[in-house]
Amino acid sequence: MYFLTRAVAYLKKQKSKTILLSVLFFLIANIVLAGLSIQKATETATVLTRQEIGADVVYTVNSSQLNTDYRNGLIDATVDKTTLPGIPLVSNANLLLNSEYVSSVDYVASYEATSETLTPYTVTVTATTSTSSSGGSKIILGTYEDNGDISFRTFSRPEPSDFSDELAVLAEGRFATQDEIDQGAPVVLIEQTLADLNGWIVGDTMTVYPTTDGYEQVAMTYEIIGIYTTQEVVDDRTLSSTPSSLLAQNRLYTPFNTLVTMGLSTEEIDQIILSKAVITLDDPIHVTDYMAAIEGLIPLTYGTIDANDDVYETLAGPIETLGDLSSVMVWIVVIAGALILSLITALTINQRKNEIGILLAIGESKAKIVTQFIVETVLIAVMAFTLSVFSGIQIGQTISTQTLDVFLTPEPTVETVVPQGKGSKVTVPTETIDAPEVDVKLDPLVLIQFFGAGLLVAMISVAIPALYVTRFNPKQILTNNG
Amino acid sequence: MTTLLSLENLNYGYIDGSKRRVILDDLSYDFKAGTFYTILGPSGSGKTTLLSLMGALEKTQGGTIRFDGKSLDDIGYSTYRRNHQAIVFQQFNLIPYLNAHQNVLNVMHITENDLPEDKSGTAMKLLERFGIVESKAKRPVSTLSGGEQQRVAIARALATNVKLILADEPTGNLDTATQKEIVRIFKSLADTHGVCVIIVTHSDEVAKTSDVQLRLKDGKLIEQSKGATYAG
Repeated sequence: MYFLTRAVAYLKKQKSKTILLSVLFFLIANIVLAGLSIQKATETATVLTRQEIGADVVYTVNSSQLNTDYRNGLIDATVDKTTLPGIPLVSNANLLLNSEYVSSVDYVASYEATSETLTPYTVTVTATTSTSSSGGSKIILGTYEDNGDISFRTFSRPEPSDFSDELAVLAEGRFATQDEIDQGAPVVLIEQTLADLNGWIVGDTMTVYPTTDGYEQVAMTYEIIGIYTTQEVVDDRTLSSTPSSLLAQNRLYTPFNTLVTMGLSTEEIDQIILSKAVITLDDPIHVTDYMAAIEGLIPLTYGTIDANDDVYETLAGPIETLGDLSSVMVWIVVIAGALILSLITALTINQRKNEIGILLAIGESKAKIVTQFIVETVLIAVMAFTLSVFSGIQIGQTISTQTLDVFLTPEPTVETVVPQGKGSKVTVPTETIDAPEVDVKLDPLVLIQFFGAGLLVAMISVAIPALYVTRFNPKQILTNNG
Repeated sequence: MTTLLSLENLNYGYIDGSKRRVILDDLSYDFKAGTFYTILGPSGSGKTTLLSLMGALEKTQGGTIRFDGKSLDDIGYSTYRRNHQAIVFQQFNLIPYLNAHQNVLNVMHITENDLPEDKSGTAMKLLERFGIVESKAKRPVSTLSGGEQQRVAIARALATNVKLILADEPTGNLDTATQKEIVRIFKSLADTHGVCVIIVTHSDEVAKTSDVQLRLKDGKLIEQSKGATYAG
């Protein structure tokens, strides 16, 4: 094992060569690590982008297809919408739940109700406030009849989607429990304005007549468990044509299963057209897999299943481009670095031919001579690589942050439009998807691979010229270099 | 005296322009243990080539070299260099980044011969025996004088406890006093330790001290006379 002593002695004696080689290794390692860090950052950013967008998959009506077919006369007002292929019926939505990735679902349906005692919120610009209670309405979102004072929007998980989407914020009280939701307990969340108008507080009860198609109007008494404030803003132009029941202030949130409580059968519930089914997955990462798994389950002529893919593509596209660029950079540097290292070590070995000749002449084995050179290079490489782990990742972090900022400016936004029936639209505050904050932490496995690959390159670049020299006999080497 | 190194019908030559130049021509000779040999001959006569072949620094072009009855091919060239012979070069050929002590210690770790447990202490004693005190032994060899480096090289040759020592003009770069001292050491190794010492030299003075003087002439070794008594 004296070759180790020789290796250390050589490194100590040849300080300038050792330092130069260390600097070279350090620089190459930094560039490679920076590239790997950027690659890692882009991977992380892609995941974060998906997480930022969320794990919600929304199944809703394909309004544009519906409108187009209306305009083209392919369907008319008399058509039974429940027969339209792909329309978001409860029975269709149920088909989408048979996946290991599904964590929860929120069935959002709407229906209207009248009351003799409550005062709905109205606005002066509109004369559409109505207290009519004519029967024949349907529990169909997007095709409201103007026949209620207020509207109910259902939910089937404790925090309704509108709340998790920050379209509504709970101001007082609580959300429904999962038990209440499952049991169809008649509990409601009401808007602050409506509560103030009627002097309601949390704990009060209210009696209304839901207007459901083909059913005798039954009085339903709901307990107010929470008061929320809406974040939706209706512009004046839209407001003038919006029935009062569709104003956000007149919207009450109640569990989806209250429809069972009202007396609807399972078959009838299956035929309900949802305004949307919000399917939340266990992890945003599984969105792509989930979308692939459900593909073809439902003929989506008049329905759409959206996982915010457009937003994701907008955000993730440039990030992936950056990742591809950094990947190319890493390969170029690895190949160029390997060549440079090979040439430098080959030159160094060439200068040590005489020493090789002496060692062979005194009986040292070729293997130990080559191993000594490898040990010398590996010691330098390990030192340089270790230092570069800190600086390389820091450089990668800086480049990643700056480059991702450039790529992601201006920040993309998502406009959420809530269909409100009769062609009216209520625009909610624009949702901003922030560029993900990326913290570059290289996987230990990647670092091990980096170390391994680097050392392998170093070893090969030393071993080849050393083996080349040791193939000669000592006399040839000593004579040629003596 | 038993034969230690046997050269059998050695041939060696090279192409010089359009002619083949013969260096060794069917050369045969037996070297005995415990004998101090000198090989004389004019420059270019092939002395160093012969030494290189005996030291297994290169392979013969014809013929066989046997050590203790075994051919070098059977022993293995590297093994032979490691365990059976030591060579002292005119240019010392010390490892430049090791100090004197490390240079000696290095061969002690390379050889597979039985050596004392305390290699470091043995190496230091050996160096001191050749006048290299500890302070010098720990210095880089490049800072030592030519004579001191040659003494380190000789100490290195003796450190592996081999039976054959080859030397190529070991005194060529040394002053007369050091020359005499080194020749005395070689002589004493042959006389008292049973080592076969073969020195290639130009010096008649050195040759006179040897037990056997050989001259390399026309590719053959010719015994000139019995060695004279060395009075040094």
